[in-house]
Amino acid sequence: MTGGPDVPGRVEITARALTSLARAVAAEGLGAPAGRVRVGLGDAAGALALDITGPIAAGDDIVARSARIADEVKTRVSDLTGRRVGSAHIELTGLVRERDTRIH
Amino acid sequence: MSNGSVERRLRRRSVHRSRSTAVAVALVVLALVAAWVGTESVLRALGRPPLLADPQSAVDTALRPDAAFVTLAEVVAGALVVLGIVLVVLAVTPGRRHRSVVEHDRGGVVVDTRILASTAANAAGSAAGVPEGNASASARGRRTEVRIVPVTGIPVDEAAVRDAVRERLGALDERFGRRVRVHVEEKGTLA
Repeated sequence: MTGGPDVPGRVEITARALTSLARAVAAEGLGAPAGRVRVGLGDAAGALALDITGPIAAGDDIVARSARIADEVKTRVSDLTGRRVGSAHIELTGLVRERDTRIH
Repeated sequence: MSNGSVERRLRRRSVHRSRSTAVAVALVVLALVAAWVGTESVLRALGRPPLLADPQSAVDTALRPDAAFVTLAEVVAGALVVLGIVLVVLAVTPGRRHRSVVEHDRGGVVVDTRILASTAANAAGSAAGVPEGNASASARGRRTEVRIVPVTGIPVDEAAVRDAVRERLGALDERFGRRVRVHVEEKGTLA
């Protein structure tokens, strides 16, 4: 990423930084502790592909909520990093209850 | 550009390969064969025994060939054909080296093709906003090909890259920037 012809030098975001950022965003959306969420980054035809694995906060209609979370994570990561995000794939591994999160 | 004959020769010599080695080898071989024929002729005129073979008896054997001689003749003919083709190719091809002459008002300036390629790669990389290693280029004659591996999630504007490369190469010499091809890989790298 460059700041245009007037700004010398360039900014690079490492894959690790991208991964932690995506993980924090995903954990926030899922309502799960960041430590239990895994995010894999890939490339889908030149756009970022997110592969999120983690538990979701207990509540009604988990499926619809995860679809909404996937959309939110896509836009949020895209806003924060300035990159196009092509797809966000969420794999739910469990439920997080209120008292579980309090222990963490 | 000054057009002194020495400078013109220098530029030509820098861009084209010299043929003097091939000419020297061919002339030495020719001189050896001529000297041998001359020596054998003189020896025969004096009535002395021949060095290698009497030219007259050699021609006689060639006219009435036996099996061994045919094989030998075939081998020699094959070698001569290969040598002839090599010499013809050396003589006819322009023998260009990977260099180009750049117009300059002070003396002859010659640029190596690799420099053109890395200039193009550098211009393309900064125009596309990709790290140094993600842009590569090859130049051949007047043609320049640029390959870019984009950073995942940041689309690369092919036309902008082409214009940037054209501009940078055109600053070296107007002929270089005319034929530029940009190829953007479909799959990007994360960082």
